[in-house]
Amino acid sequence: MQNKRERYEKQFVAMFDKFETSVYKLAFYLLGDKDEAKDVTQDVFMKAWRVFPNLRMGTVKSWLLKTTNNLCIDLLRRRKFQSNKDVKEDEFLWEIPDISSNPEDKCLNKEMQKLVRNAVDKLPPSFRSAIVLREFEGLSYTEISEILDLPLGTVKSNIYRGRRTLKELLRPIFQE
Amino acid sequence: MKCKKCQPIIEKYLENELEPKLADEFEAHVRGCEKCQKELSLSRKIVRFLNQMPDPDVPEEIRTELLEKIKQSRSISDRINHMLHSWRGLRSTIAKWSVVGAVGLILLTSVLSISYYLQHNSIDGEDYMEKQVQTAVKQIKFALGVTREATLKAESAIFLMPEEATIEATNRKALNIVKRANTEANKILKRSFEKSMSVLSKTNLSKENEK
Repeated sequence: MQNKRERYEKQFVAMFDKFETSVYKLAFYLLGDKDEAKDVTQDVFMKAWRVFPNLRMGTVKSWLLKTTNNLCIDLLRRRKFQSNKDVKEDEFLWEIPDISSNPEDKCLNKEMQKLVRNAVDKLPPSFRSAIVLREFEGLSYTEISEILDLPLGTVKSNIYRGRRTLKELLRPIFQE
Repeated sequence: MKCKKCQPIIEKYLENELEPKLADEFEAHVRGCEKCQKELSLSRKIVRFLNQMPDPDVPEEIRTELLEKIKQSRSISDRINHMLHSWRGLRSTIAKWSVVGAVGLILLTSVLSISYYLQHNSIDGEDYMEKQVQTAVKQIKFALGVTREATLKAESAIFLMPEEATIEATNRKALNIVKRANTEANKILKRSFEKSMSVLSKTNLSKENEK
């Protein structure tokens, strides 16, 4: 009994290590708040822990992202999320590792990331989920459709419309 | 194709979601249109930037707090299990005592009802005997009916089975039925007779005592 429990715990921790970034990233981009994203990530994995023996490893990522999305949507509904809410700099920017080596590029890159983040934040939640899963998580349309529980056509349409909205929001920055 | 038609399908083109014919038309237009080239280039740039956005650092406390919560959930679930086990023990004790209580209650009610009945209804010996005799007669009639029915069944079975091998078997079966019916009828007759006789003697005895 004890061994079985320990085995479950080990498997669960391995699953957590594999998918924590994906779950946190989705929550973080959807909510735009570090603390809330942290809480949601913990809630998602606690839910996973409760049903862990019944989770199939093949679909576990979908299950986790679906649960994350649902919890975030609930949270957004509850707090009547303001789509034009600005990102708090110290909450977001200093958390992102910088890939640029040139100091000038570094600043520019950080500034660009902030602006992109702001733009993503301005998208309606349905577009935002689809964009985050497609552009930041690199999932296929089918996987996104499964996670968001939406028809394939709707997912594609949300992604195209999200991209077009982002393009309009980011046009002044990227055209310079 | 014109710019107005071209620009809304740029995203689809980037995802290779356009039909081949439409994709050819799109490419042909873009080659000759500087404005649409810029639009396509901007879309590509943005998508590339989005794809390269670094992952945010996951706060370390998520892991530590989660593992702590799991440990707590383990102790809580252990406690719940313990409570459930205790409840199961308690439940079986309650069940046992309920059965004992129910049986006791039934016995008590029966005794009280009988004593109440005996107090309020005096039994007339002759009436009782008459009733017993009537019951015995009914039972005898029933036994005779069973015997008759069994005989009829046996006869019809013999009649309906013309083959010799089966006739023999059927005869045996029919005889057994008749025998069983007779025995049963005899038993009922005997029981009824004995009962009537005992009631009769009791009534006579009580009448003599009264005299």
